[in-house]
Amino acid sequence: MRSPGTKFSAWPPSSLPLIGLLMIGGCLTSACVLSAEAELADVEVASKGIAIPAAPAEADSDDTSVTVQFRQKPNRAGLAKDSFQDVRVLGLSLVANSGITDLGFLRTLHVTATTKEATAAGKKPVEIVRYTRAAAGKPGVDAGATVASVAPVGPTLAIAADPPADITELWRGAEMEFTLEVAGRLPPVAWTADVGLRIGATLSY
Amino acid sequence: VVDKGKNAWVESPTRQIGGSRFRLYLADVGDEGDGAAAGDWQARQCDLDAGLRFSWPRAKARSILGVSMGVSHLRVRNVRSRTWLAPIVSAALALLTPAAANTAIAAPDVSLPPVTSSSASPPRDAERLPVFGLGVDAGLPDGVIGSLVLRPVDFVRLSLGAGTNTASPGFRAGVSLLPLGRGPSLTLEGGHYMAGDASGLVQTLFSGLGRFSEYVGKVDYSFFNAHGGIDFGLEDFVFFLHGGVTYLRATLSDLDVPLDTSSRTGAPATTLTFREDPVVRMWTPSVKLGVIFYLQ
Repeated sequence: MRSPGTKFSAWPPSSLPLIGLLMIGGCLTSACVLSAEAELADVEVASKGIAIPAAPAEADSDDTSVTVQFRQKPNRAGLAKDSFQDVRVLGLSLVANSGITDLGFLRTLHVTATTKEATAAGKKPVEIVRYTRAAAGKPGVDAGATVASVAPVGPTLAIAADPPADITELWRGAEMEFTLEVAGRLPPVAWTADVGLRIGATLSY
Repeated sequence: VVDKGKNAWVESPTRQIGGSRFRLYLADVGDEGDGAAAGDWQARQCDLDAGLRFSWPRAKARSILGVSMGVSHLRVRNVRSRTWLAPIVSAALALLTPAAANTAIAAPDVSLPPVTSSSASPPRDAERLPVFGLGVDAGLPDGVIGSLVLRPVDFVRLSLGAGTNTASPGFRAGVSLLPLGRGPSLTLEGGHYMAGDASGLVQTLFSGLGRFSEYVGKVDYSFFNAHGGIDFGLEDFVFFLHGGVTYLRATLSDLDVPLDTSSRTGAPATTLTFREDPVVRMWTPSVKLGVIFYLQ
């Protein structure tokens, strides 16, 4: 019993533009992200072939120390520097590359990092790790040191930082400047090492 | 009670509130749909007609604002002014639905033709919507999913499906609530895609990571959707458009970051090694389109 001329549809014509808008809006917003965060739990950023000079000739068999500075452009792997919310150093590894095969001669290792911007602002370098080799092959820690444990000495020295050093501000800079201070019965020949920085980072974008 | 052909009809006197006239009605339109009633409504001069319409068995959905509530229909028509009255009156009628329905069914009316009486109380099973169905939908991050659909009750739809995001297979389970049987819906879903090449459609998910997304080899991800949407159709065929937010947790693997040698100051080249796979968590808008074919 339908009246002539009466038309029925599931939705009123006035709702069709709304449906269209919903579809278009949905498609457009699918490319947007409301919030996102990424966790880089353990990433190693390695600088290869850092040259370390030989022990001074006059050092003879006594402990000596040398200081090496090197720069490292933070390898952010294409991620925007502002997206890094927190960057901390979990540890550092020193790998004998050439000239030596054993790092057992190291008695202490102290690594700090800064940037030109931080230096210009009068900020102190951030201490990355401080390592002191203990007797009887056990890891040792100086008073006030940040190092908690070390791996057995060999061609690779892995040092965990505890607590992890916060280098967020440095990481956002253009280039980090590291100071590597090694002490011990250093070899009479120059040698090179790979310095790996293990970092953990959180990002948001 | 007014006999409108096959339709039992109860309506209130026209009332005036402010500058608008409105009227409430309750109708049993039998299984012929609401044709006669609709024609009659067109002749009315009320600013607002709000009503409750019954059909035994279920009439095909033909109403202009045809939201259905179980076996009753709630309708608002002829809203010419004071449109704010419509939802208020509709809500009041919705609250009164059970009592009103009993009244309508029990109301004796000798003027009703027998056909209305016989069609007024069919077996309950005849009113049930089809229960089992097959569905397919497409969206992001859902990919293309084919689903088995189960409608245990008219306002709940369960789905379990599998599909692809163009890079890897995945699965998804979900539940949809349709308070009115069709029309507006709320859907909650969870799914997972296995590790697959991070290319094409998948890569767009991580475009916010900039060039980094180009270095990602494989991606697997889990996702959870909270969608609102509109479902068209009712019985054999349902078309839906859903949109909302998605929480997504992805693990990126097989990363291959090129050696960074771009330093102009002589700094040594640096290598990047991911000792643990990066994890991305995001809340993102999402949308999908789909259809469901009910089998029985």
